[in-house]
Amino acid sequence: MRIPYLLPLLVVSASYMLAFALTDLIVTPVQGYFLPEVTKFASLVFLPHGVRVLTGWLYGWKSLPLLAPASYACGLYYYGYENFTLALALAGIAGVVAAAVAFDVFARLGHDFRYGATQNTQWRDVLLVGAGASVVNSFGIEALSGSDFGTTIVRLLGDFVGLSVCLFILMHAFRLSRRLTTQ
Amino acid sequence: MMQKFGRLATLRIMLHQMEREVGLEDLSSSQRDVYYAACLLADDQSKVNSDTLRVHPMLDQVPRSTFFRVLKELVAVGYLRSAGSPRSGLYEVVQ
Repeated sequence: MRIPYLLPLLVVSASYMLAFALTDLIVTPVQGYFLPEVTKFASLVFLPHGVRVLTGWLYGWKSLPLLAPASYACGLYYYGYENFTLALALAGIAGVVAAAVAFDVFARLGHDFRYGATQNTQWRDVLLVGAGASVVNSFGIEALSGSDFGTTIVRLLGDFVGLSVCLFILMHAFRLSRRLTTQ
Repeated sequence: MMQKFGRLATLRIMLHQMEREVGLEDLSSSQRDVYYAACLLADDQSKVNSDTLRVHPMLDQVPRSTFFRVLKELVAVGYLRSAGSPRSGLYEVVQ
C-alpha cells in the first residue's frame, strides 16, 4: 500500500531533526561561550529554518503536516514534556506555518516563487522569502508566547543566518556527491 | 513522472545557480544548459533520452555536434552517466 507523502514526511522530518541536532550540539555551545545571555533565548544560527523554508518553497501549504511532527518533537525534546506549556505549543505554530505564509504573501504580491509556479527560482528569491518567513515566525512567537522584542530580533537574525548556512551546506553536499560519483 | 522528480531537480538547479554565482561552478554555459534541461526532463529513475533532450526549448538552437560533445563532457565530469547500451542515447542524471 502506498501512503501519500510518506517519503517527503520522512525526508523533511529527518532533515529537520538533523538541523536541530546540529544547532543544539554545535551552534548553541559555541554561541553560549561567547554570548551566554543571548543563548538562553535564541540561536544566532538556527538551521531548522532552512528546512522550513525549503519545504515551504517545494510543498506550499502541504508543508504544514510535513513540518509539524518534527517541529513539535524537537520542541518537546528541547523544553522537556513538563515545561512544554500551552504558550510554547501555540508558539510552535508560528514556525510551522511561517514559510507557507511567506511564500503565499509573496505570490499574492505578484512574486510567486513556489514550486510549480516557475521553473527558475533563484536562491536569492528563496533567501528573500526566507527572511519574510523569519519575520512571520519571530513576531508570531512574540505574539503567541509573549517573548520580548530583543529576543525576537535575535530570533529573526538566527533564522536568516540559519537558512543561509543551510543553503551553503546543501550546495556543498550536492557538489561533493557529484565529485564522489566521478571517482 | 516529471512532477514526481521535479522537486529534487528544482532544488538542485537552484543550488547549482548558487554555486555558479558564488564562483564555485565548473561548467560552461552550454554544459549548464544541457545539464539543467536533463534535470528537468529526467524521469523518476533520473533517466533521460538524448533525443528528448535535444528538442528541449533551451537546447533546440544548439548545433548537433556541440550538443553531443557537451553530453560527452558532462559524462566525463560526472554530471551525467551513460545508461543502457552505448547507442541507446540514454543518460542518467547523477544525484
